Amino acid sequence: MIAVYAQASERQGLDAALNGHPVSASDAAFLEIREKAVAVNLTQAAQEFDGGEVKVGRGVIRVELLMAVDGEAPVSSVVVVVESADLLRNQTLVAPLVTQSIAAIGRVARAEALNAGLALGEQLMRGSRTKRRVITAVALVALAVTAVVIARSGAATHDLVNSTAPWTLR
Amino acid sequence: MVFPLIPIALFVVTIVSASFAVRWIFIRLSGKRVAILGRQQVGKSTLLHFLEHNAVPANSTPTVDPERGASFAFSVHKKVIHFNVPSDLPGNDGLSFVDWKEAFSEASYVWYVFRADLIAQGDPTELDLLEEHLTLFNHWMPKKKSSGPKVILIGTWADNDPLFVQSPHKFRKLVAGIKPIDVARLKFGRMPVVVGSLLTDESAEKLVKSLGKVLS
Repeated sequence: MIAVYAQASERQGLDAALNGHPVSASDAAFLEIREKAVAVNLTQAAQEFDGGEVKVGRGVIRVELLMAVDGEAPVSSVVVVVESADLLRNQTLVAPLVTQSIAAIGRVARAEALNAGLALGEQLMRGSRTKRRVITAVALVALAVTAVVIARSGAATHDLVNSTAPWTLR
Repeated sequence: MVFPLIPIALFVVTIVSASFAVRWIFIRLSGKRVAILGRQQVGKSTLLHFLEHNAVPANSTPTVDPERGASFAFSVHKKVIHFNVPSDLPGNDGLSFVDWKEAFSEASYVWYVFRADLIAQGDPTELDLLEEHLTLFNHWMPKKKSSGPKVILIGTWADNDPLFVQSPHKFRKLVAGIKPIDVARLKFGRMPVVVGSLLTDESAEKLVKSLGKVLS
């Protein structure tokens, strides 16, 4: 799933699009993916690139694209949220859908900035997956070692009891 | 069979109590909690930036999603008070109200930022929005008002109005007397109103000084 949103300029609220089509900002599917993006924004560190920043986590990649300033008025950045599974599966399919979603909310993004953001997001997500796998592997090994140590100490105690108990009881 | 459950229950109770205690201590140590609320593009993030860095941001972009907040110290009547704004909340219409409500209920102070220039002009959309927000605050305020947050109204963009340039005092009086504000002030009891601008460092400093005067 791909969500794109920005602060509306002519009214209060957000302009939003989902999978290339404009949606209401109160759409349930949009709210669900935005909630993940908000959590990622508040908890993860940003990686900057020329034209914006990327944050990853909670199974999504959040790319914030800075828009060109229109005169003196501040222009809202455009937030692109891509489910990481979609991006890792096929970035070449994701990029056109993101461009279509950005167009659906009436904005135009620089193709280079967008591609740079998505590529960085993919790289970060792959990195975090590898890190997670290494941590899981280390945890499993530690667990296995602990289990072996406990089992061996149990066996040693059992041997001790069996060897000394009859003698002490006598 | 029940006996082994007792240590487990005690353990759970201890963990829950400890987490509440840690949270309570953290809140106390991080200073007085402030919720900065208001419509989008009114200057909430600019105000927070000024309070943290003593300068308005060089480039301002609208806040689309909630951002991490900031802590800062403020001199109130020669006494330094520490404040903490847990998050910089956007003003995206109804979408933000869940976050607003949470911030409101946990705050010692609510600084509600509004467009003083548009309110002074009697802009109907702006007046409706202001009324909607103040009505929400009234719903969120506990029955015993003294246990709720202290609400302060901060009017920004005042430099757009010629009356503010001529006489800031008259402009403030005009804004404070406008219906939704006047009605809310009657409902909430004491609800100070300050007006000013966040356009430059100098004007922001003046606004923050006015804010300091009503914080005590």
